[in-house]
Amino acid sequence: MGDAELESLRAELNQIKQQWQEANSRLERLEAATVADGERVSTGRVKSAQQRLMDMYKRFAIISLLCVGWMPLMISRWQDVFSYSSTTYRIMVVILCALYFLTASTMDFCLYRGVRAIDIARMPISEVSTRAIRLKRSHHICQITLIPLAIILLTLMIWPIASPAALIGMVIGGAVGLAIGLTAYFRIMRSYRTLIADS
Amino acid sequence: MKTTALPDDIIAEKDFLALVHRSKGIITKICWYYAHDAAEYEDLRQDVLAAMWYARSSFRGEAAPSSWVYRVALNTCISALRREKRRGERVALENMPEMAAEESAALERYREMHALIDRLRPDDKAIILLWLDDLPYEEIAAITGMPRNTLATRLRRIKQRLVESSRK
Repeated sequence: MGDAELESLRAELNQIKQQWQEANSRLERLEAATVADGERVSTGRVKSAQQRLMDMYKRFAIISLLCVGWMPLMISRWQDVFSYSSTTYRIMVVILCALYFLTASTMDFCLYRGVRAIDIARMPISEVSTRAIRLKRSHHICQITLIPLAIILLTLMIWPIASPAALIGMVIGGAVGLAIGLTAYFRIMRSYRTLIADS
Repeated sequence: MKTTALPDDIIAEKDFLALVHRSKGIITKICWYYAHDAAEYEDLRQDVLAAMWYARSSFRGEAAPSSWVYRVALNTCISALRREKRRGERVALENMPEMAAEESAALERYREMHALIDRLRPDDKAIILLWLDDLPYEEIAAITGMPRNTLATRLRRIKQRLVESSRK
């Protein structure tokens, strides 16, 4: 870069800096609302975004953990609905169900710990960015792993059941579950903002 | 334990409000440049303040309070965590009620400045915001966690990109 070009660059940067300072002096009008928000936050009732994300993962981990016990119990107890022809098949479905929810719970717990480990007050920006990118990737990996497993599990559960009513009920249940899952998925993805796309 | 923590919490709340008052300019500015509409700006501002509130114990004994505020605000804006979009029409930042008294030329300048900085990646945006705020290289390096030389090289590239964008 020549001297003249360097000089021109410097002049343009100075101009940008001047415009920046001018713009900021006008932003003072918004500062009163910042102070008012600060007072509201200091009541301790407003959660930070990080806490909301942690809560969500914790909730999912607990629900999945409860399902580890509940789903096999349901399959074992409701033999008229889950009317499998052999006990071996029933045991296999029960074990797969328990394994699936245990995997889901472990994954959500790991993500929860990952979000909790981010210390935005002490960590430098580069580290927080890296961790957030890694977490978003981990979240995608978990989804990519769990969705096909859920489809396989549901197929194994529904396929041998002859009753049309039970079949319809489970298909509707599966569809509702999928819709809830996808809604939660997109909500979490939005929460991570645009990090992946930008990196 | 909760019973012994109460007096500290009361002091921390006072400290916190004083800190918010001192740093209102930094918080407002950072949220403004990371937001894309009025609702997002308000969400970001609340998230930054909530993050500051919950991290306030780590503030005690900080040599430079503004560095702490910059770090929390930038980390919050960069790393995360937007709420779901509110329904209804999006209100542009420069059309917020507080800006209503501005003349149209000034509003246009706001829009241009915001658009110029918004073209940068979120972490580059953080570096340039700190540079525009006249922070010394050492402080920018400490906040961003970059070695000084890496920072200097990166900042040079960002400045060039900024000038190229402003010429368009």
